[in-house]
Amino acid sequence: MLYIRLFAACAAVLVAFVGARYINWHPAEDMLTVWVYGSPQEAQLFRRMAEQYRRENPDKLFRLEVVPGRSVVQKLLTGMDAGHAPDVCVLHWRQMAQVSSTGQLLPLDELVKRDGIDVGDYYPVGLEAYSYHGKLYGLPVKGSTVTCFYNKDLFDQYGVEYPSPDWTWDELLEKAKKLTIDVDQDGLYDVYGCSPYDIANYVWSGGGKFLRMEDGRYVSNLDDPSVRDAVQFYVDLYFKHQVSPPRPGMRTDATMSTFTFEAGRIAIDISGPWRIPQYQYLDRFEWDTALFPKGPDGRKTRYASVGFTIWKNSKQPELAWDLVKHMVGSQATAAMAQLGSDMPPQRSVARRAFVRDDTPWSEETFVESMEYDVHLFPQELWWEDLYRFMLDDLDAALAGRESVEEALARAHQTTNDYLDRIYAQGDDL
Amino acid sequence: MKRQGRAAVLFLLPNLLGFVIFTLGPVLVAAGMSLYRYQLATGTPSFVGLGNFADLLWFDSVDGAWQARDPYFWQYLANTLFLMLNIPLSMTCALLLAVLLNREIRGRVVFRTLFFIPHLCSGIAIYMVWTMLLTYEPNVGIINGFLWKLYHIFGVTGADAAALLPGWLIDERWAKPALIIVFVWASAGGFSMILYLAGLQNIPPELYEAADIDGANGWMKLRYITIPQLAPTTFFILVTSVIGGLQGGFEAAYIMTGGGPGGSTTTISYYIYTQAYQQLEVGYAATISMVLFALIFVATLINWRYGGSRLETS
Repeated sequence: MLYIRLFAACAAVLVAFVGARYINWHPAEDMLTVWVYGSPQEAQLFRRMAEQYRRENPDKLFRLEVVPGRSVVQKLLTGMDAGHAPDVCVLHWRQMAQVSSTGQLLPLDELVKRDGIDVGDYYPVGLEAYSYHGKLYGLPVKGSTVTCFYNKDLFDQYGVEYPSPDWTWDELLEKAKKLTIDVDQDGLYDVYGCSPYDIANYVWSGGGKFLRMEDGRYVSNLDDPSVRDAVQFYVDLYFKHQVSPPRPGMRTDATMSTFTFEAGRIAIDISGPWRIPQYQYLDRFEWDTALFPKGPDGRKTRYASVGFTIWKNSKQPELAWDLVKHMVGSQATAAMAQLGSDMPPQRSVARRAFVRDDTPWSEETFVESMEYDVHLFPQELWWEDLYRFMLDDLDAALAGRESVEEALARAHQTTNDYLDRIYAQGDDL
Repeated sequence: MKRQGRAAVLFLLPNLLGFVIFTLGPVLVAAGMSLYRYQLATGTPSFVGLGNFADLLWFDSVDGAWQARDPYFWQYLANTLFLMLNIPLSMTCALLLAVLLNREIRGRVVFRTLFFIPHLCSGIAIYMVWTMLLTYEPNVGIINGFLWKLYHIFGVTGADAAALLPGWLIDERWAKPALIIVFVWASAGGFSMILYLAGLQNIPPELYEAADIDGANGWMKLRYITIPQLAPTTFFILVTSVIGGLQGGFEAAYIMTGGGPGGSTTTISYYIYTQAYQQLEVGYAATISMVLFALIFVATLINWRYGGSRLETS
């Protein structure tokens, strides 16, 4: 009897194991797999779009799976390595270099050309974000750049003028100083003027860049005086002027701070439209939007987007492509915009679907922000790793333990050492 | 007897199969992979022998100074070892809590439950709450708020008081001690305390009675009866904590500091993750894993050699 029970238990485990393999890891030849991730509302929207495609194409078999965004690259690359990856996958633009450098994504240039996709309607940076070494590997479903949110109540209460479309870093500092307030006069700030977001926006708007090309290879550009001035301005916001709440280093997202815009403790939150899903329900104060302030070299901000890609070894590339076209088409991106989650990647749809009359804040700002100089980080596999080390070195300046010159000199050395190592390994750069 | 033996094997088989397929197999594959330069999903591994180990551990002489080929590995290893200082602190706290809870005090069950609660809570929730507690600004961070008030009582105010506040999560010098405090808080009342409690209840009461007759005080009883009698428990907790400590630290650092400031809370496990899934260098990540495995192995051997032999002696 014991043996029978044991046998039955083992058989059940085996059946479950084989079943799980069949269902999840071995898509049948005629069943296309699509991986998406995002907020619950976005996931719901992706499902809705997929259902619509299914209704219009009842003979096409596919399965849409909502996967955790944080581990999607890990799962995807492991699956690609093992030869069992989803046919279609949603990727953030900062994951593109990692995945496309493996050569496992299907180039889309020919398909885009063949089917007459109106690439001219896309913001060019959106297509660049999904390109790697000159080839297009994905199409964005949403995309936008860095802008500002400001607490109108605080501005009104302390008699500070709202940001103008042409406002500058100096004005940002001036307003932030006025809005860094010790409400109860206990010697501690209760409201901070601004949360400055990623340092890259300041380096670029200051006329600098992190890397430059020299003799056909990347070298550090952190010895450029314009980079120094931009980093100095950024660090001064935290350390000298104390108009921004301290944070545990530049690596972390500043929104991890307990001083948040939502709590009414940050007057100017430099961020992007991807914050709207959180901010749209704020009823404690009124807020509005403004463009990123101009630096010495104008307004140069960082792009952010999410897009669809296709696995090179998909058994049904045509069906995958057809589905991707549907998922990033104007109907889908307009629906995404209506959700308020982010801006459509196409100019025409952005203006038509994202700008609304029924909200007290201006979405026009987000659309306009895309008309300025929108930047990307170098689309290289090693960039994210290198950037982390750079920021680690700059943390000493952020904490006031080193001067900006000292921290930059160290970051400059770190960057060149890192790049030397990468080139010595003979990686395909 | 033979029949019982077969049944035992059958009962062990599922676990054994799981171990071979999901643990031993991957470990062996990782060991092999550490000898290759292998980028995930590119499918072209190239044999480099011990090249990855040399790149990870070797020092080169540059202008007369020794320079690590991979300085980050050494920095993150030092971080990991520093963070492991929480182990003796956690064990001491767990022992003290267990000794207290082993006494006939009112509300013992309530206290036992309260101390164990951190172990039942989600790590993310704990780290988020501690992030708020350790916030630098005294009007938000409760700990610095308390210090701020304390300084004021002693007449230290304004910038002088601010200069004396620890920069918990925002200062390289304080970030690791801050994480150690969190680890001690989270683990002192956990399984270590429960194991110590079980160990305490197994100590024969006659030993304490004999000590009472000999006129031993509380400290002497703790020093000469409780601690030696708990040696097997201490040994078990130490071994498992050292293994966990060398592998851990990722979650707290990821949530509370993002590995910063200045990489001061980045641990080896975080480095393995970024090498494998951000740089796609799975061969190199496997090499780091093997070195970590060797460290754990050596640490456990040392524990067995000294802790184990003392146990046998006692």
